[in-house]
Formats: sequence, C-alpha cells, structure tokens
Amino acid sequence: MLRRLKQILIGSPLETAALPEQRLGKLGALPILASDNLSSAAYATEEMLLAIAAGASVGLLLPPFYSIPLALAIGLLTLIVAISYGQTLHAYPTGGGAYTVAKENLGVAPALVAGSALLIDYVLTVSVSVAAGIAAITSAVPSLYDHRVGLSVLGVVLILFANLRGVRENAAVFAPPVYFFVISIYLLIGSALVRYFMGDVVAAPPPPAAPQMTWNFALIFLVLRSFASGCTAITGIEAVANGVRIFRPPASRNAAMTLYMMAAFLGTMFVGITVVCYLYGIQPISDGSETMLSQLGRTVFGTGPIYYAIQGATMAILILAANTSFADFPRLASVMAQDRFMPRQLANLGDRLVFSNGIVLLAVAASALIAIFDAQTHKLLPLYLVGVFTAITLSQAGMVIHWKRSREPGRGHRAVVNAVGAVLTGLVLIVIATVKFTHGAWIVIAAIPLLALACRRVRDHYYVVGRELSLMDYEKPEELRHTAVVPVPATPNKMVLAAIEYARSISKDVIAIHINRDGIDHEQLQQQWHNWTPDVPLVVLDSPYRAITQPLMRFIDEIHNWRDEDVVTVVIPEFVTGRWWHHFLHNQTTAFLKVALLFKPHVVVTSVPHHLRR
Amino acid sequence: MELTPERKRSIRQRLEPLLAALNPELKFVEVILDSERRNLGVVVQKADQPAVLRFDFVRYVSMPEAELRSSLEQQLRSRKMIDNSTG
Repeated sequence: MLRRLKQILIGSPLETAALPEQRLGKLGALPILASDNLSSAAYATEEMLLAIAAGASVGLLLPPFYSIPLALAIGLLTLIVAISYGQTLHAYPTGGGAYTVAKENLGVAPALVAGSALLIDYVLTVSVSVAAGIAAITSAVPSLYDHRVGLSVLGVVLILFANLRGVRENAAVFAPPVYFFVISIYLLIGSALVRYFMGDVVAAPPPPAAPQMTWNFALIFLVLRSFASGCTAITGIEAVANGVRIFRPPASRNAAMTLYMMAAFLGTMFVGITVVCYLYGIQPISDGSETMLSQLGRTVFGTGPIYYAIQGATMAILILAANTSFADFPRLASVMAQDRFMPRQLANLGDRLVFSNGIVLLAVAASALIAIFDAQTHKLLPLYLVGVFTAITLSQAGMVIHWKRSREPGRGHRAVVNAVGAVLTGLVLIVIATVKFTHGAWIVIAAIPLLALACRRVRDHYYVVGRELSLMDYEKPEELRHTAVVPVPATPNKMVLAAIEYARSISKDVIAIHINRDGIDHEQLQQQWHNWTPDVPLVVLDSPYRAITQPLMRFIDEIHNWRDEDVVTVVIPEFVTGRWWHHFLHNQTTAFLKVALLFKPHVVVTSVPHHLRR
Repeated sequence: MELTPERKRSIRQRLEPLLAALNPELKFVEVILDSERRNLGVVVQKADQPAVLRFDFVRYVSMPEAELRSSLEQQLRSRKMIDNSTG
C-alpha cells in the first residue's frame, strides 16, 4: 500500500541510465534556477525605498531621485556578479558554486563557511518565500490567518513532492508561472512608460525640492544601507553556478547563457520598476498595507483583470522562489557529502534521479523554521541575505586567487572583475550584518560557523571510521567462537524453536534465556522447556522490577566475559505479521532489544523471522 | 552443552551453601558448560543483577573447598555482589 501511495505521489522509479534525459536546456532550467532571483524584482525596489524613508524619520533626507542611481549601481553589481559567475562556470565547467570555488582556492575553512552560509540561506529562502506567499493569501482571506503555520508547512510539502517527482516534471509544473511573471512585469513597465510619455496618466506631483544636502557619515551610511537593502535583488544569482548539473551538455555553456539571461531579466525588471515608480511618484506605504508593485499596477491598469493577473503572478513567483532552493540545496549538500562534510545519504540519488534525502531535509528544516518563527515574514527577513552575501563574497575572492594562479590569457582583467565583485559584495555583507545584527542577523552569523564546525566534525568522524576499517594493519583473526544466546518466552512455540534450531546451526554453545517477570515457578519452566529442547540449557532470571532489557543486557555482558575471545550472537525469534496494522497489536520488546544491543561491542544480533500466514 | 541433571544437582549442592554464606541474597540460578568441556559457568543472581561465575571445569572437579570459596568470593566482589567486609 505504501509503495502504491509513493508511486502516486512521486512516480515510478527511473533508471540511472535515464539521468541524461532528466537534464534540461536553457529555457527549461531558467524557471527552476531563476525563480528565487527573479522574484526579488517584486520587492527589491520597495526594500531600497523603505531604507531611504527610514532615514527621513531620523532627519536624514535623501531625495527619491537617488533611488535611480542606486538601482543602476545595483544593476551594475548584478552585471559584475553575473559576469563573475560566468567566469566561474568557465573555470569550473562541472559546477562551481561558492563552496567548490572557495575549497579549490581559499582552503577548507572558507569553503565550509561558504557552504554552510548557502545551506542556511536556502533554508531561509524556502521559509521566507512560502511564508510570504501564504501571507498574501491570508491578507486576502483574513480568516485563514490563524492557520498560517499549517498552510505554510502545507506549501512546503507541495513543493517538496513536486521536487521529489524529478527535475523534468518540476520544470513542467513551475515554468509557466515564472515566465508569466516576467512577461507581466515587462508589460507593466512598458505600459507605464508609454502612458507616462504619452501623458495618459497624471503622475504624482514631484516631491518638494530637497533641502541642500550636507554629506556626512550618517548620510553615507544611509546610502550604503539603502544600497544594501536594494541588493536583495541579487539574491539567488548564485543558483545557476550551483546547479550546473541539471543542464544538458555543454552544461557550463548552457548554464552561463541561462545566468546571463537571468541577470538581464532581473536587472531590467528591477531598474525598470524603480524608474517607473519614481516617475509615478510611488512610495512604499509604511504600514505595508499595499506593495509598491500593486500601487504601480493599479495606477497603470486600474483595478481590473490585468492588475489581478500581475498580483497573481507576483504571489506565484514569491512562493516559487522556494523552488530554486529545492534545486540547489540538495545539490550542494550532495557535493559536500561527497567530500564527507555532510552525511553520505545526501549524496545518493533517489527513485526519480534527484537527491531525495536533501530535498526532504530542506523541507523539514524550512518547516521547523516556519513553526519557530510563527510564519511571520518580518521575523524571518532579517536572517536573510547574510548567508548569500557571505557565499558570493567568498566565491568572488576565491576566483581572484584562481586567476592569480592561472596562466590563461585574459586572467588579469578577469581577476579585476572578480575583485571588484568581491569588494562590493563584501561591503554589502558588512552593511547588512551591521544594520540587521540586532534584528536577527546575529542568529545566522552565529549559525554559519557552528554549521561549518559540525561539517568538520562529520568529516573527522568519517576519517576515523575510514582508518579503523582500513586493511592496512589487517590481521586475520583466529577461528571465531560463538556463544548463541536465545531470549525465549515462558512457553515454547514454533517461532522460538525455529530460532533455537538456527542458533544450533551456527554454534555448539546455545543458551536459552527467559526473563521471568511473572514469578512463574522455575521448575515448571524448566520442565516445559526440556520437553522440547532437552539439550539446550535454559537460564531463568527473575525480574523483580519487571524489566526485560536491563537483566538481559547484564546477562549478555556476563556471557561475553565467560569465555576468552568469544563472540556472543543474540538470536532473536521474531514474527512478521501478515498485515501492517497487526504489527501494532504485538509487544515491541524485540525492537527495543535490538536497539539496546546495537551499541554493545562483540555482540552480533540475528533475527530469525517467522512469517505469519494471516 | 547441557549437563546431566545429576551433575547439575551435585554442583548446586556444593555451591549453594558457599553462596549463602557469602551473601544470603545470592540465588543460584543455573550451571552451564561449554562444548569444549573446559569452561563451567555458574549463573547466580542478586535482586535483578545476574552474574556468570567462571571456573575451569577440570580444575573445579578437584578444587579444594577453600580455593573454591576464595574464587567465588573474588568473582562476586569484583561484581560488587558482596560487601568488602564479607568473608
């Protein structure tokens, strides 16, 4: 039944040979890897203007016109980062995320910081995107507000299953909303410009002339803060470099083209929205009751079908931003797992040729974060950005070192591009970390090194295990000697006798052990036992406190010490029920016993199953 | 390997008084012998704590009572199944 349910939800398993068929071209991969980045066009202008407005509240006046040069600067930074990642794809054609670049050029510690920062950022992206999407729904239907956590988790689960179905099906599901969003934003910007220059729309009166500005540290900090806030537009740009493996060959070339397409879409949408918002005098509303994009849409198209279509597309892309993380988190985790910095299970491809364990882990972590932060976007947002800018900065810095070591022609100007990118994104990182530190960024700043340290410990563990299992100092052991211990109930039955026979087949020394919780007479037990197995001694231990596991464990320890160089094999008789729910009708002692025995050295546990026919 | 009932009875009759003298709470549970007929295991229990006391089977047969008592005492003391003052 479970198999059938799994098949319905996830689909039939795919052969490993089908892996190349699962790869995507540029237009197929763009919606998967770009939804996070493109979605930021929906709110980056607003974030930037909110930062400018926050300055006004403390007497720092920055004219709204400054939003345009700031947007152009962010657009330029987007271009620099995109070119920089394009260079990375050229240098690392099999995939050059921040982790790989930092590992190759800066060393293990920066690589782990970059990897941890990205993993945390991906979890945050899912939490923030889904919570924001659900917030849009609960704004429209306020009665659902109290169920926002449950609805957000449901949203995560839906994206989880779409991803578990495989890359191709995921692309088929998520491509239309992403392209629809891009088209609707261009329609909005284009229509706004046409109507503005044709004089169809009465734009808001120009803001009053700003008083003479005196540049001081506070004002420079305000500009930097606004710039940093607007840099939310850049988030998600690293996704393509991390997701090279989903592209058809030539993968790095296709990935680079997709990256440039994404950066072009984002840059033009972001700058376009900022310019038309300025032209129409649209400002963020302090109580957050309406977004700037919504104001712009209503001003240009009126509250009609086109406006609602734009709003719908915006809501969809905000939720789908989570999908990029579902594409990249499992891939990054798999690369780190191959390097033994993450559990090995994360490197395994699942039924549908995706890294299912990583996908599930991401869904669980994001759901937990949504529950902890009560699905409140404003509580989650300050945690955002630190991770992604840490990773981008380390990646760029790593590329500078790469070009310094390289002998490739043009390495000089390539190094300059990466260095400029590293300095600018590093500056943004410092500003974000400073401005948002007390609002929650400290959590991520603390979490990144902790996760990096945990990764290190994971690798240390695998190293120790590898050394311990190594055949370098292997000496063939003497012939093994077993004492087989069979835990038995008070009354012998077919299942128990089958286990005794099995034990006799592996050892000449078999001991049956019964834990007497019910105070049954020993003579009576021995008599019953000897009627069926006269040549196997039965040890009956009283259990005055009715415990089973504890006296049994002590007895096994004693038996282990009884003979030198002895292996104790605990043969557990176990029945397998015909129907899954019958399982719950039986005592679970066997399961507890197996878990307890798992941690005992020199003890081998063997189950002898008896399959019930009904 | 299972000992004959007579052999078990004789071992029990020999050890039970010694155990009782060391600690009256100690219960004789069972006696086991391995297939090589070398290791004799005497299973005893105090409350819910079992112990398998180990003897060389051949030596056990001819072991003087004082030595047997001393060996029992030492093995039980190492398991904290008798007080230090006992004996």
